[in-house]
Amino acid sequence: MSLDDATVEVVRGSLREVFATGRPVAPALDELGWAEVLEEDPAIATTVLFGEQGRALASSGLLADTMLAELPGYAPGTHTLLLPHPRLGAHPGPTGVLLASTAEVVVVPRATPDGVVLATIERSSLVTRPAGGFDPGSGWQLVTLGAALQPDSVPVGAAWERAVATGRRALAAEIIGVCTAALELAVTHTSVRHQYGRPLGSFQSVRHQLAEAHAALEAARVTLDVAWSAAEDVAAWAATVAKLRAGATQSTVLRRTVQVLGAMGITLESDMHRYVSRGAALDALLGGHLRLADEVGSAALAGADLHPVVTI
Amino acid sequence: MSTSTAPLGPRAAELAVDPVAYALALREHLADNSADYDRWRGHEPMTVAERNDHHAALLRALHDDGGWTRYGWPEPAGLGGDPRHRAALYDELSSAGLPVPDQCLVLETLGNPVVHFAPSLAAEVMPALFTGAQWWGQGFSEPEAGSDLAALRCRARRDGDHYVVSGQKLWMSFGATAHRFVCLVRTGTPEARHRGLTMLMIDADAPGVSRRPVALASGQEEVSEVFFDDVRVPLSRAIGAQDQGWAVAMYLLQFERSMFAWQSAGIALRRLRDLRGRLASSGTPLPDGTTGRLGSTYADIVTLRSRSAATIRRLAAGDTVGPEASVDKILLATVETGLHDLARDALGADFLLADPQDPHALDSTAWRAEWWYSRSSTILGGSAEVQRTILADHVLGLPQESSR
Repeated sequence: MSLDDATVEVVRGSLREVFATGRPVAPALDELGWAEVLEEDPAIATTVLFGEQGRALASSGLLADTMLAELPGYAPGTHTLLLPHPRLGAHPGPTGVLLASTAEVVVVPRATPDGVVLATIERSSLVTRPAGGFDPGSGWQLVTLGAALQPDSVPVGAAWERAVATGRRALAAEIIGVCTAALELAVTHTSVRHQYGRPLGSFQSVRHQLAEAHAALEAARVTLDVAWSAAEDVAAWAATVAKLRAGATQSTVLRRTVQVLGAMGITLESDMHRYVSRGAALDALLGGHLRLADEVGSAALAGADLHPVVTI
Repeated sequence: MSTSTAPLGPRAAELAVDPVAYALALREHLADNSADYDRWRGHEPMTVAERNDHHAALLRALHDDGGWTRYGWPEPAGLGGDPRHRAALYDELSSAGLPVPDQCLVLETLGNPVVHFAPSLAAEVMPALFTGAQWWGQGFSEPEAGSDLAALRCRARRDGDHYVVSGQKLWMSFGATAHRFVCLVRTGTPEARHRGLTMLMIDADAPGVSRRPVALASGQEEVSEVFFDDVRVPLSRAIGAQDQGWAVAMYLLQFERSMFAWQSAGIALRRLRDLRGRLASSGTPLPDGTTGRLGSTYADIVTLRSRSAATIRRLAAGDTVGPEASVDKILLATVETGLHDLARDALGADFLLADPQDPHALDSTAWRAEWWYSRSSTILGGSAEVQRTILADHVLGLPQESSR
């Protein structure tokens, strides 16, 4: 089953409206009959949904909900998922990142020698504080789990790997949405803004920077498409590559779009800074592109199959 | 040259309509006869001419035991099928640790316009390509027409039922050994730019043709300069109508930017596996950043495969691929430069110094030659700058450069 192009455009338009109003997303999706759309074509539905969220710079708990759907026994709405903190290794700081959500129960993943185990904790018992920093609009909370808060845990096996793969595909789509909007802004700006008596966009260096941004964006799009259609045995690996690609793309695209806006690009007056900071923040979740490149490279040196992923 | 009599499997008709079945059958063939193909694995010291012959022998072997090189090309020379068959051939060769024959790189760019614009000529000249008996060179660039292809001056004038060609072509890959050249020549005035061009097939042994190999910085004579001194070419050797050469070149570019990229991605993945093997077993610490660059390069290759596969599927479905194919070309250059820079940096002393103690001396020599060749990925077939300008003009719709 798959959605035809016309339907996709209708869905995209509805989602754009939802995000533009700033309403809570989950109930709005219920009104749209989102569950059916998702069932019909999970790849396109997820890509359009997160793409629109990225374009709108919206903040929601959709990522956690989407990942929870892969973990049997937890219901989005009543549950949300604590995402692993981007910092690597053992450290005394926060344990994870909580997305915007009204759910009262938090599902907490923990890495153990036997794989990832999940526990649930009442939201009210968590110590949280808002994540400010580079992207103050993220709406994320930093969570610290006290030692006393380690409840009984259940192993989830391969379901966690599937949840992470789903999350990475969703994040890749959201990053692509952010970058698409940023590139549109840059193209518009350089087409109308004149210096030296001609549009900025007629200068070769500006044109070439934006062409590179476009190529990077197309690269991220097609790698994500492939991750959705990859065979089951290589799906997680392909999702990792898609997230790596999208993360590298936000670095390439946003470096260029912020440059061609000149001083406007680094002010609060232009939205460009919001794309820049959101792109970087999304890259950090579930493995930033530099970390994923290291992971893939390490796996390769340890003898992992350098899988062709794509067949004709 | 008539249709080949080499034996085909009993499933030829089925394979011709099913690229997936073709790929699986070919994989099985290469696995079952793996030892027979060992002579094309590994590295031997070779000149470009020796390598061309070595690769031609691989084509012959593939042709004679199953007709594998004929799928994906229209009958009668080919066995039918579409570009996906050819993509599968190149991919299965790479997966089996075998080279994609040099001849196929040119076949993919030149074979398509010949089949499309000159079907009867294709029936005559293509069988020899599938057996490796002959191969072609692509004559586009000239000393005064590099990125600015429409400035080319190599001239063809009509004389009865012939064209008479005078002028010079440059940077022709495999030009020193090719049996025929497919050249873009000027039949109109220089002022007509791209409107006064015609595509001609010229035999390398025709009177008046002379050629001079040009060595790349590696010392390998990868390209050639070809001179035409009143060379007579029958009108029947025109590919497309007179003065329609630019349209033929644009048609050709669709394949050059997708199928060539796909071939290159398969080769790059094979070479990345080779490099990974050497680095993993080197026993010495790797330079800082090597691990991450290895991961990035692999991801770049997967990205290129994703993009060129999507483009090839569009071509197989009969779509026209336009300026957006410049993205494919940029991604190809990213892979070529990234992979070879990684090899240069990570192999370090083995790359830089031809150390007789290096147990992989032949592979190191190959990496050095391939590094120089990889620099052409941002130059040939439209430079990196040309690709970016195409995207800015025709895809992003940015304001035109004022001087143009």
